[in-house]
Amino acid sequence: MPAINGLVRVKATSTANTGGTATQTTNGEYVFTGVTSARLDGIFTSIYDDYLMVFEARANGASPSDVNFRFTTGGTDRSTASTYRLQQITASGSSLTNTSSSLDYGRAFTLPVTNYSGFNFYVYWPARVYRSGIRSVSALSDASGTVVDRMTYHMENLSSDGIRFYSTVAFDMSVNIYAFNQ
Amino acid sequence: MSGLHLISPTSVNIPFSGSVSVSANGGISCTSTRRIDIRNVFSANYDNYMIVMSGYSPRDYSMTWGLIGANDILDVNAVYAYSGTQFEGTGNYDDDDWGATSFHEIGVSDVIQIIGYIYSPLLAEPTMARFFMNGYSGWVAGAGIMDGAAQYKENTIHNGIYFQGTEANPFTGTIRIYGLVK
Repeated sequence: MPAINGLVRVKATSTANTGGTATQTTNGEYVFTGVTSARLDGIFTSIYDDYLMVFEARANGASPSDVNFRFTTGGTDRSTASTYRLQQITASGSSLTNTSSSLDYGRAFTLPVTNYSGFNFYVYWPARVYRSGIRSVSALSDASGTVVDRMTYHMENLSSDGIRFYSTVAFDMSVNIYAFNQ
Repeated sequence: MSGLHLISPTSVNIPFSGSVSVSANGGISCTSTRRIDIRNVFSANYDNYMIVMSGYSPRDYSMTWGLIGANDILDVNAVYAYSGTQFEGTGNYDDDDWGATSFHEIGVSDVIQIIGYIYSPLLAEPTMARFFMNGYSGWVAGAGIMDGAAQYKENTIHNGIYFQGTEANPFTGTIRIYGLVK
């Protein structure tokens, strides 16, 4: 059998942003600059179960930016209370802490200012009518080279086709999206 | 050239209850499967492999995974070893076993999501594995993270991999195995 590509580039059917600008490269990278909200529509479909999203992001200003996310369907947030269950590990210098929470959103990034940090999102079963999950792994550009490892699962048995990132502080974010072939 | 190839196993065996299907590309889907043997999935075309697994099972930690050796026989010799960490709420555990009969138990229940890597299974040397698991934690009724490294400690060639639950705790979900192009 011929080799089948393991990763397939995924493109959004549309994007939306609040503040700033949004552009798309020919290859399909999305670049948001100075936004407080960035939404990617139509990226999760029944064709694929699992996805990889690779980000570079930073705060656009003098203050660190906490960026949250929600799954979306048809551009509308999934925002039922206590449906995003989070486990977070933070390793910074010689300190290791772990916390959990139950919210109406997921925590995506805590962005330092000035330099870009890197993040991977492994997204499992977002388009299935079942609980979906995200494992996010970060490499922060702060002074300690902090690692933040998060697992979030969305408890609603609903299908989502997109995701929205948002913050009270403007941020810059580029993202490439891939599906695991199946 | 793509760097990651989806592999289609030569054969998939379910010796007990449940059902399984393999897509034209090689993606595996299980329904209430107690054990699945994925045979001859490792080949000389690749040295190292990536596994993406998503799904659920009725209870926590009801599955194990290990290697398949010559003549399609499950290798359950007590020569596996693993070390891992588990994070739930504000608690965390160190976990290790140096005489195990499989790589590790798998934290299942409402969700199981795994990214795993298998290194050099076809070499007559110890086979190494690294895994990043997401799951539901019954303890904190939320998300849980379990990451670890494992090895099969003897110099044995393996050509497949198995996932095993119990009669009361079968697995429903998807398994995809990718070769990293060398």
